[in-house]
Amino acid sequence: MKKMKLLLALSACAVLAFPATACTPPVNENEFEEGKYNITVACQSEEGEEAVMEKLASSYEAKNPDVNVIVKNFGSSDLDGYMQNYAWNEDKLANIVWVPDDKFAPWAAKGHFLDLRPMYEASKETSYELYYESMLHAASYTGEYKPYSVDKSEKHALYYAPRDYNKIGICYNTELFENFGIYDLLPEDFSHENWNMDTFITFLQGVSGKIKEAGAAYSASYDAINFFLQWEPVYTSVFKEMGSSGILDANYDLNLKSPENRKILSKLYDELFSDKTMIGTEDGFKQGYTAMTVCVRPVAYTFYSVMKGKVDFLPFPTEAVGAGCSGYAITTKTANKTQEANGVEKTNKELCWDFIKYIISEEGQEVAGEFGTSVPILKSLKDNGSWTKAMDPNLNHSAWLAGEELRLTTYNVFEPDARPSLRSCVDAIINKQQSVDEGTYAKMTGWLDTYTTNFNRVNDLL
Amino acid sequence: MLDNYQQTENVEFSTPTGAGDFVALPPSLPDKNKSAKRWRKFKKHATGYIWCAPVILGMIIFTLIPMVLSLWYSMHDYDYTAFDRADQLTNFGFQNYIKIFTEDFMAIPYGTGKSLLLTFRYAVFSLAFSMIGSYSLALFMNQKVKGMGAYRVIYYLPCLIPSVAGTLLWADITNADYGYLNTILRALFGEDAGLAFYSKPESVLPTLILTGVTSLGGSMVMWLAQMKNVPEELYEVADLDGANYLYKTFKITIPMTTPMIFYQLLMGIIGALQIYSGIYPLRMKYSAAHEELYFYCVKIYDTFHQSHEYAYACALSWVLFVIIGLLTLVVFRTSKWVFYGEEQ
Repeated sequence: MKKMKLLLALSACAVLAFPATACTPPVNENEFEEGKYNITVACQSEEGEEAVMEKLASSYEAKNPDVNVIVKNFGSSDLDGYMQNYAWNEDKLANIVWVPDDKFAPWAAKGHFLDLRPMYEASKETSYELYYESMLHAASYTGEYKPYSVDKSEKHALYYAPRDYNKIGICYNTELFENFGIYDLLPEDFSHENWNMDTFITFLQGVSGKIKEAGAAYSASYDAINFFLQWEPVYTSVFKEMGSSGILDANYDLNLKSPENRKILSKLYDELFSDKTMIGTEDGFKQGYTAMTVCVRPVAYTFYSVMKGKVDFLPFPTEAVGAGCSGYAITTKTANKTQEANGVEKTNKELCWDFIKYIISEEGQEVAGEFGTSVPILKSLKDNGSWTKAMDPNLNHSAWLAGEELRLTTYNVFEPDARPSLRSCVDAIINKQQSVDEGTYAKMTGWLDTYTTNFNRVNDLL
Repeated sequence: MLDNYQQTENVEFSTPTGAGDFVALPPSLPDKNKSAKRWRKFKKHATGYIWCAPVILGMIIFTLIPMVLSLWYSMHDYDYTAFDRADQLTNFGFQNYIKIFTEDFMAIPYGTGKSLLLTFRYAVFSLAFSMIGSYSLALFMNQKVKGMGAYRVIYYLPCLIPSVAGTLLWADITNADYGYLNTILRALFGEDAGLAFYSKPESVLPTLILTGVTSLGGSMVMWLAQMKNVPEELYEVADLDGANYLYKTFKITIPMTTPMIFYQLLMGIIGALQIYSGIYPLRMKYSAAHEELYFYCVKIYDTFHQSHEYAYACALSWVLFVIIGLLTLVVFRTSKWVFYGEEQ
């Protein structure tokens, strides 16, 4: 009996130890292949990112039989979560890490990622002219890259290789457009003359009107758009289009309360947000209650999958459209380690760059483009790449390229570490502006003052 | 049996000799090999130690060590992106605690003061609602009515839903646009009959508190257990004296269940001040709820995960720990109203 008790106790301990196995790193050591060069890549699992990387990895491996690419995901965390877990663990840190443009800066500024400029400049195959310039700027944490031959300082370095070109656009529910007769409200062509913030507001009011016309039940449940104004590319594009000189003044203080910005917020409030059938949510869009949503191409791909193809795209209604990108960085701590295969020794840096070079080449971009999640970083694939046939070739893919490039540089003047807090502060202000109750514009101007003061105080602390 | 007792050293033994008298037995002879004895003693209790080990180890590894570490971190600046691990912690001092009560206290929109106030407001109203609600429910469920067992099960069932899932479920039910509640209200009373719920700032907190109605069943079970322990004779005597239901409730049931009231109050305060689960997805889902549900633990989470100010988040946690500790002390010190029985 005593032995039985002991056995039971030990079994209980063993059962309790199982959850601890969940804490093991996401790389399976067994995935490393003897006699091959092994490259580890870490990326997020959402928005098709991991699936695209798997596809790129297998096509690269097919071309390079002596290379084994091991893809792992961030798990439930994001880049920050991943880096915090592995940045100080050289044995577990991936050689290549997927980074989004709004998250990489704090890590790049502390030297966790390699400056890729010497590698870009070593070959004509990766000449800067091939890529969208704004995306190259986005890969520098100061927002302005300069060729290595011109300026060697780390402030103008390229810390990741941009893989895609993500402008914001509008994804709409084709079924709701059909049912409510919204197609009739669209202009014949989307030139800036016909499709700008003024005509867009009129269009949205028309959509709201159509929903109301459909009956009480519809106007209580359906909305025109998830406008997402609190998102940096959206407010940057909208404010610029509506005549604002930006949300920061010359001293880098938040100037949302300046007369010109107040006028914009007031117009948006009066003509859009105060209408109950106007502003919906992303969830509402997914569930078929919101007719449109502002998003980028990778998210549109998710909508296409979730909503079983009942979506199409419209260009964002501003002359200059906020653009961002994600890409691949090489981790400094693993870069100089060497590997040997077939008697040839290579550094991880060489191996990683060769893989990245493949990803940003026409061949790699076509592989990624077929998946449908991204617009290629190569300008040469603008009109005819496989991405224009992904999901459904009849979709309005060109909507994702409409408008001039608008660089998102608002926060670059601040220290990289401080940017997340500042972004969240502006997010809160604009978010609040959308949720204030009817008839409280006076109240809105009141809290704009207090919020702005607070933001400025945050600036003082930087 | 006496032989067994005498094998163990340094223990004062008593054995009953008669009506309530106890006589001390002489200790057994000292053992020369103490370590062998200790080993035997350990072996005797080994199973017990092993059974306790997961809890003790769990407490040490997952509670005690993190607490000590977080106290240590809270007294530093933490650089989450430092290139070398050695550079992560710098500047030992109380700067984080000072910041909580100075520059961050009145900050808008996400200051410590505001989130504390929101949390206290939630704690007061939700505690009142859940205690009065669940107690009333338990009084009702304590009746001798046919099929009462089924009612109890029905009221308890929602407690089996995980809290995050429950909150999200309620978030959909109370969606101002397409939620079931408003759909029913509009069908019954016309288009304007829908309620704002989480879509307007002023109705966010009441909605959150009222949707807690489905978790009343959990407390109800505990009240019921206590009510069942109230001696039946007390009610019989009261009946003989002609006491009505209300009189019996206020003069017998409530006083006799004060230990449970005390327990529920204490646990309720601790739980309400730590409100977090389900709140985060709610804030993501409804922009109007973003600020109105910025509870203290949400602030800790945001500070940790969004702003990456780990040391500051640790300091915030310690402040909450002290606040809860002080409130617990106050509740204990003012607990003379709790009736523990005649011997008290």
